[in-house]
Amino acid sequence: MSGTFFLNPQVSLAETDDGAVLLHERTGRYWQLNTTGFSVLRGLTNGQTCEQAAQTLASQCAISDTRARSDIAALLASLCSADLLRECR
Amino acid sequence: GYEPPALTAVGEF
Repeated sequence: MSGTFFLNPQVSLAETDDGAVLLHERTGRYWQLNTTGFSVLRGLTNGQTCEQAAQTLASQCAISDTRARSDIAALLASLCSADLLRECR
Repeated sequence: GYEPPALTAVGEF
């Protein structure tokens, strides 16, 4: 996944005190995203690539680039698997 | 403190 991403148009997002809630209007499922996850999602939907988002996360949270890439890859897999986020093609 | 990004299924309606 080296491209950019966009939020599925069928998903409603509401920011909360501890992150965000995402509601998939077609499936009726809703999800909780923690603060770090919401920060990453915001970067991705604002045009950051996976690599750029990892660099931002590593810088903000003082973690290694490797850890940041791994955590973002896991988050992306979850978001795409749930059809909340889609890759621009 | 670092909290890894996490997505949690809450439910459905």
